[in-house]
Amino acid sequence: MSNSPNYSKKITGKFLFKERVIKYFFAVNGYIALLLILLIFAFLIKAGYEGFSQINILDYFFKESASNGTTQKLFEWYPTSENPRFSILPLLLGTLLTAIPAVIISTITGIIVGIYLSEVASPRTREILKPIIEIFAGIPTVVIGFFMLVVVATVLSDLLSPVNRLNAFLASLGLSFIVIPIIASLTEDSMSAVPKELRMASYALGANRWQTITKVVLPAAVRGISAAIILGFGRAIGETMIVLMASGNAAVITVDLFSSVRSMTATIAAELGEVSQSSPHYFALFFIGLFLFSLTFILNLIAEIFLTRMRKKLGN
Amino acid sequence: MKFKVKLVLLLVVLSFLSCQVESYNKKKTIIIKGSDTMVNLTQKWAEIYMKKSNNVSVQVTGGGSGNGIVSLFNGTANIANISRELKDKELEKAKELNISPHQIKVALDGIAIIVHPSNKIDSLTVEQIRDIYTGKIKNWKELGGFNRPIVLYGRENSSGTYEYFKQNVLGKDKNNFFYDFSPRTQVLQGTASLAEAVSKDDKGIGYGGVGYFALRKDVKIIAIKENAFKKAVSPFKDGAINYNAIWEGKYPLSRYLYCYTNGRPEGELKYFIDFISSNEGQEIVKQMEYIPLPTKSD
Repeated sequence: MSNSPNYSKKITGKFLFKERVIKYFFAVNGYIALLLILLIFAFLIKAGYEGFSQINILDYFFKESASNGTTQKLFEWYPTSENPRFSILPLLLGTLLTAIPAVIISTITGIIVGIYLSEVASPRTREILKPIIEIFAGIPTVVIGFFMLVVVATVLSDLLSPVNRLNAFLASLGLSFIVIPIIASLTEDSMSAVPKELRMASYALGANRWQTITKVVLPAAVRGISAAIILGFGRAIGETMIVLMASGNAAVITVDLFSSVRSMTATIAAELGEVSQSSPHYFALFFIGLFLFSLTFILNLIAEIFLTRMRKKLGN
Repeated sequence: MKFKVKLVLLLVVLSFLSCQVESYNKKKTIIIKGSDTMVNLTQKWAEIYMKKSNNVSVQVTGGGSGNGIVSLFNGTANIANISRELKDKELEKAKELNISPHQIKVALDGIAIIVHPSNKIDSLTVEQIRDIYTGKIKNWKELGGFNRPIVLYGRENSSGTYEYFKQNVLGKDKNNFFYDFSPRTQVLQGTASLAEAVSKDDKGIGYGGVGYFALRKDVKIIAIKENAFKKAVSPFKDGAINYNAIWEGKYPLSRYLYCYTNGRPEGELKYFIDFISSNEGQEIVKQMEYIPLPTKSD
């Protein structure tokens, strides 16, 4: 190994080549991820579109039935009946009835935890607490579902004795387990991102800690917190296993929080495995999938817009 | 050298391929089509049978009893799985096509109705169960029980038990459509979670294969009356399945399951049918939560 004049050039050449390979490797991976999502979307649209030849789009919302001379609109999900009805309204209602209470519970708890982590807790406590809370979001949802089914359902029916042991409220409690960490962690992030100067100015004007948090830091971080709530909502809507196990799965039209409900995700999970291909039932399930996908896609888009705006605002 | 190696490799691969083709050709295939209720059971039989005899391949598909009969008649299936007796129309069709359907009883299935052990009600008529599950009867009080709403538990709409219950208990309405379950029915995945739910809900009622509940002590099995004038029959007696009542057809919610062949089964078909009726085959019936055939000594 002598010091030839070409030696260093060779290294740079090799280095550049290596860097370029790595660069392309990551670029290709990024595009593959994008392509996969587009393909999934295209597949859903295709299957949903094919379904329109078998099921009228209005049938996904209601079916008119004539009995005793009067026509009435039926909002029912009976995909395998001899007189099939494919209304997704009871399922949409079921999804909302589990997701909305879950988001309300999680927003209150999540923001409190986020404020504590960002403003009150000592750096050391934060270092320990934050990872623990984030681990909660990684618990397999089937474990949470089982816990709700076996332990919490019994406690809840002893305390409140609802008509249905498995109900929307039980499912939304289960969903809170995974939504609270999302909201808490993102709230903490966006509050920490508020510049120190704002806090200092507030203290300099004579505000105490509580006033600083509520009047200065929270308003500055409100876009980030909104994004956190929307992301949490999207997660609650898309969650399957907890709802499947804890909600009771009865496709009823109701706004009673203690009634059994059936969500869109649980319906797909329970029925897609056994449905015969290209039957109306099969396409109806794909229509639900398309609907769900669009819903969560729009929610995530809104959250992303909020986050970008907050970053810009705080950056200025 | 290299060429030689390649040649040897090619020959080895070819010899393997030829072996496979030969053994494939030698294998005889039994095609079974029909009742969706029997698909799981028949697949289990086929699986065990294929392990025992290497030269037979058994293919099982569902599609419903009607589909099974059509396939047997047009020769695309060797055995039709049927969960009912043949209809007169189908027998006429068979005569036309010069086919002699041969019926073989292979197992039984039955549905038990379960409630919470604290429930005072011991027996129900089939009609009462229908009214409960279509949502006409909403409170246990109406049946002489305590003043509590009835909470319905059922199975997902793809399960065979769901269909059986719908056809044999709910029955048809005036438009000749089968009644649908009340939308308030809570859908559970599998008989195990259904039994679990009913055992924890004193207002609950559920249904499921008779075989499964033989092992559960935490739910109460209801005796069934075919109508208000008949005696109530329970599918269980002294903690065990009441086989005699089911075999004799006294329990209203049970039925025989049949395999139909074209003429008496011969050769490979006969061996397969013999396997099903053997002790081993009937043991599988028990494992799959169906009810085995009457034992020959009885």
